[in-house]
Amino acid sequence: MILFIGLNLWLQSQSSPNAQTTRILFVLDASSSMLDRWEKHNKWEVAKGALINVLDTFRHEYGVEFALRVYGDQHVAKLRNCEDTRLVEGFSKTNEERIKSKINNNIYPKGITPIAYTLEKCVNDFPNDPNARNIVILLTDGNEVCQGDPCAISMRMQQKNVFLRPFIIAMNIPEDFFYTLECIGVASNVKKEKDFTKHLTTLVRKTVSETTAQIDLLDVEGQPSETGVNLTYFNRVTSKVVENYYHTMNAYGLPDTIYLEAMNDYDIKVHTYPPLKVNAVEILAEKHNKIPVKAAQGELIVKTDMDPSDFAKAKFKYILRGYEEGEIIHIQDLNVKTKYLVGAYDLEILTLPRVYLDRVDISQVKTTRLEIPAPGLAKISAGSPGVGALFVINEKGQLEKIYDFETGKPIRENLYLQPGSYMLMYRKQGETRATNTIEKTFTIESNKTLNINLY
Amino acid sequence: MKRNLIQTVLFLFCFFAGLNTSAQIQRGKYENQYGVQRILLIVDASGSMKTNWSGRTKWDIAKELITQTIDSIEKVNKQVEFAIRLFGHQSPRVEENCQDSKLEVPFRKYNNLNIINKLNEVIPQGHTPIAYSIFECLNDFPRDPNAKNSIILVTDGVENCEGDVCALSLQLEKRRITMKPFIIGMGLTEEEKGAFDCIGTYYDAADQQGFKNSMNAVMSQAMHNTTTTVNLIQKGGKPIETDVEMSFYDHHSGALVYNMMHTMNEDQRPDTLLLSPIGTYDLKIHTIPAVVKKGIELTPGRHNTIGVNVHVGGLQVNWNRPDGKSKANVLVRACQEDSTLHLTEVSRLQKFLTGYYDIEVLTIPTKNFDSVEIKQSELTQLKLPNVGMFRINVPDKGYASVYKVKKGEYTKVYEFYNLIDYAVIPMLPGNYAVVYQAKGNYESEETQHRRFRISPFKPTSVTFN
Repeated sequence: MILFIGLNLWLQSQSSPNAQTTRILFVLDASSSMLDRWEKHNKWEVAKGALINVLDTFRHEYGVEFALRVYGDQHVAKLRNCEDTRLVEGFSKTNEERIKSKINNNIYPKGITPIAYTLEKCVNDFPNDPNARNIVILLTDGNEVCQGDPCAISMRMQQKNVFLRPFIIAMNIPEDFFYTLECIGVASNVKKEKDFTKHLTTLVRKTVSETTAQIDLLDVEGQPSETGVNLTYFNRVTSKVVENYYHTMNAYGLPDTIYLEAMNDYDIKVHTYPPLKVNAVEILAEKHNKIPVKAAQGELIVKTDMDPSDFAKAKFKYILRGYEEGEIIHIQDLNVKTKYLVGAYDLEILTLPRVYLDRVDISQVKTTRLEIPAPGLAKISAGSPGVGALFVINEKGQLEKIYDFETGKPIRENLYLQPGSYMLMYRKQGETRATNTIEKTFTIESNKTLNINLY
Repeated sequence: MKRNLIQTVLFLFCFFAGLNTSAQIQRGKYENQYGVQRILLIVDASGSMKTNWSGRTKWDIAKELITQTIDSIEKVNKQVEFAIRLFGHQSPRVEENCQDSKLEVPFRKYNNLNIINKLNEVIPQGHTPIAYSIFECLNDFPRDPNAKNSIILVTDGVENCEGDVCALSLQLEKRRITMKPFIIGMGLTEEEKGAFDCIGTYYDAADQQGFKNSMNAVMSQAMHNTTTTVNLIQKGGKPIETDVEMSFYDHHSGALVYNMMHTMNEDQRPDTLLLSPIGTYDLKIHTIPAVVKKGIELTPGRHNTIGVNVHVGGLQVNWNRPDGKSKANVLVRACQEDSTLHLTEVSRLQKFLTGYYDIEVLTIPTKNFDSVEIKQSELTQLKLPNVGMFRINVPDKGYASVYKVKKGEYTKVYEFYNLIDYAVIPMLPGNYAVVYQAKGNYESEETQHRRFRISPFKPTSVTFN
């Protein structure tokens, strides 16, 4: 039973306080169509201007590095070169001026648009640095024209942790082409020339600014008092596990602040019994975000008053299911205090015979304590091999089989049985008369041992 | 002095309920042989028995044949006892005495002379209170759970008091005090014969010879054992299933009457059982799940065969390499069902009815085998990978939990409680993650997370710092 909470939040942007480097690779379209006029200027000039503005704005930002890759600037379009991509300037701490210079002087749009191949080539653009946040921002005015599948390549690169979910900024391309870009990453289609620079700048700011979050596990009163449970954070796109954090209270007794990678959507699994799942969490950039999850829990302990050495041998467990629901939520040992989400449950205790406790309410206020009668020990033995079984006599006086003796070997069984009335039926192997069935009725009392010999 | 006899009967029920009359079937050890056989004759001595039947009175014919029969049986059978109850012999018909019924000769061995003497004293004269007589006669039998008791009713007419034999029969049966009398009717009309259908087995005697034949038939049934075999029929139709416990319950009261292990005799045929032919049984075959056959009636004095389809096969969940000590519970559910059918253990062989089951082994994590088929007479074996021991070492008291990692899905399979220093748990082979956070930490990011792999028999340990 996984409860989905449709918060539809989008966890975004943060940077770890621990000097984590953010590396932004701009992938710039230099295909021939970039020379087409947008409104007042051609697209190439708009893109160039926006990029230079961003480099100037963020050049002193601590822990941020840039690089530039282009496609379509080496071969003319009619050659249809599907491998026309190159890293113009690699990552380093102070390369902004070099990038600007190269955009201005070394790149001339003329070719086609091999997006998939280009994304694949990004692998080697990022230095080997497991702590870095690698970001790709693709600026394009067209869609894939070669055979590649840019969406599949993007997914593969994300799964291999080459880069986080990429951003695609399209330069006013027709809607029926734009949709082919949406599956690559977070895509936007800027319609107006004047909005382009602002759009790119805002995007880069989001990627480098700090955003924090806290998970509020709410009790029945809606207070964030629940804690001590592990949460698994999944990348919503790649389904990969990003983090496992035990929910922790800070020194003020409040849920502590966590940093989650910015560029991803998250699904969060709260490992309560039963688990909770919060899908597609949205977080506003540059803010402290509280993510509320209703996770009120209460404690349950099922006890039986047995001698510890007997208890260790008997190893009784119980099965917990939702009230009138069939699926098993948890199987737990007796005498262990365990937390469950508040609610009604059905319990099946794996004693002999099994004991059913229906509609057990687990509340936040107090520990729910259940006790089942301590079993007694039946020591059953028969010198010769035979067939037989143990029955419990129910309140109607009818027999219900609870245990079969193993055939073919002498019986020597120590069984912990719940207090009550039982019957044994046993017949030696090789006997040819049903009347030689040995029938023994006996009563079991808590914590008492009964020797039963079948001779 | 007409009285409502049913009322009387009901009143008497209350009186008898606590008496545990001898006719009541007692739950006791199932015996190979009955002890004493007791046959009670309830003989009509109402006025109509004086009428002629081929030259002699019905009374004389009945008297003669009854005493001859008893004589011949007593000569050869030392285990038999007879008694005589008469009705209609004490008050003349005009008095309309509906309680004119008396046990005249109680049970004892070699009783024929007493019976002859008593019958010779009697003059038939009164009413026919049949229901009352049957009810009264329950007290005529001594308390003796091992006795085989029978009633033979000889009459030439139907109830002419207000007793309702059918209502009586039902009430007796519900309390398991029914005796299912044999009724010998002397010259009854078709309609009158039907009146006895609900209480016992009717034998018609149209004349003296007919009476003799009926008497012999009835006596032989009363004397002979009712035998029964239970055929447990496998898929394919052969009655060769055996070694399973059976319980016979009383159909009406639900009381347990017999228990036994189904057994094959020397010829590998189902053993012959001696079950009381009285009443209706529900038979429960203690397979898992149980098979129940309801409403079984036995024909007295005959051999009865009860056939039940019992298709079973075996199930055994085994470790890949049995080590003789690893244990785990096994939950068995009917396929697609949520409730537990049976709880067993790894390496135990357990029989089940054929069909499909869902099996869940309570290892860490649990291991499921869905839609496992159990086939007739076949052993279905499921292999379970051997566990490896996982040890977790922690520097401080804290929280820790173990997750099964599969296709990116994280499923909690174990939570440590009160973890101090270390803990060791047996786990199935596979890829897992363990997450640890010391108690008293203020930051989520202090949580530690390790992947690990469990291999059969091998210890794996994770140490947090």
